[in-house]
Amino acid sequence: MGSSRDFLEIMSSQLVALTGGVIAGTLLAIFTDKLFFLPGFFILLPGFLELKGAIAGSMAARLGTELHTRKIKVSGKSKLIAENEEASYILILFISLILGVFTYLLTYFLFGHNNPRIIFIPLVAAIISSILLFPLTVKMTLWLYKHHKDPDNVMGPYVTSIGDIESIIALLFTIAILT
Amino acid sequence: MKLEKKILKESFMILILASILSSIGGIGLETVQEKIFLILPLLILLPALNGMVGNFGIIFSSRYTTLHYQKRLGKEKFMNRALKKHFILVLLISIICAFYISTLSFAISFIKGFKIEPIIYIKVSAITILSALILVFIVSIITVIAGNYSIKKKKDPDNIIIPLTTSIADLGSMIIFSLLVYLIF
Repeated sequence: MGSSRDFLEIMSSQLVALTGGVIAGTLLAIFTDKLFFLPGFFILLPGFLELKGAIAGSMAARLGTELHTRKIKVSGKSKLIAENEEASYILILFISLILGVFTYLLTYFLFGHNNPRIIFIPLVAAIISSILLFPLTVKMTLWLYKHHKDPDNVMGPYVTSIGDIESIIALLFTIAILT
Repeated sequence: MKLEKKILKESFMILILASILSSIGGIGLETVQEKIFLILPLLILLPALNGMVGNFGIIFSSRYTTLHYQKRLGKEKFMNRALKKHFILVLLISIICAFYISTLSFAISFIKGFKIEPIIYIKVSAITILSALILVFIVSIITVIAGNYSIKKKKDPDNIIIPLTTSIADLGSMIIFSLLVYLIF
């Protein structure tokens, strides 16, 4: 019984996540002309998508654990939730800047393209996309637990799906501004 | 404040490592970028493939930590019955999902005017399914090893194994994907 419930929860959330990923890919396909002329974009892309998924995914997993172990309640505000969110914002800002510098260095030394603007693309895109992603992650985790769904099975795919679409839109927007 | 500091302290280095590993995976993509732009389904399925194995990493890792905190993990075996059952379930779902993203990206490419050839569809589907299977296997093993290590070091496994498994999934999927694109197309 537990297995079939797990199967349905994981499968349905994955289908949503993957459809989100394909929508993100379709956005890339629509703007190929912009991306083709941006050296280093494919070096930046997996790291940036990974970063959003890892930070929001870890936050959802922590909240899931805290809900399962009854450290936080689904109703009302909690200091633990606020601290989780603050830590996620600090992490995304610092690490997206480091990612930008690393992408610039790889693009310069491996492919010979000198494009310093790529340093700021992940930072600006991270700020734009995190404003919505982190509060939404918290609300969704609490809502799912309240409605007797296991956030462990569902939140990972939802977070990465929403994160992927948001990140690609934020990246394309930032590229349009900065290049 | 105590929790915030703990999260930053435990996550910072692992996230830097995770994004660096993913960027290294991106070098492979940058090398085959002309082929990716040319064969439209490859570009469309890229973010989904990138996220898919990472998602399975998050699902498996979350179950691992929940079992640990519920004291249902067991110490005798590498994977106890509950964890093994979850691993097989994730493996099965990964095959279905890989097939789904290949088909969906082809359907969208067709709408966008890309000429569909059966042999290209078979090749792309094979790349996606193989990548998913290999990486779910690797990610699950790494989850258990890294999870056991972080428990031993009295650190929260949620902060360690999720960034680690998702970045290994990204690095692996992009390297395997780029390599197969280079070899097959």
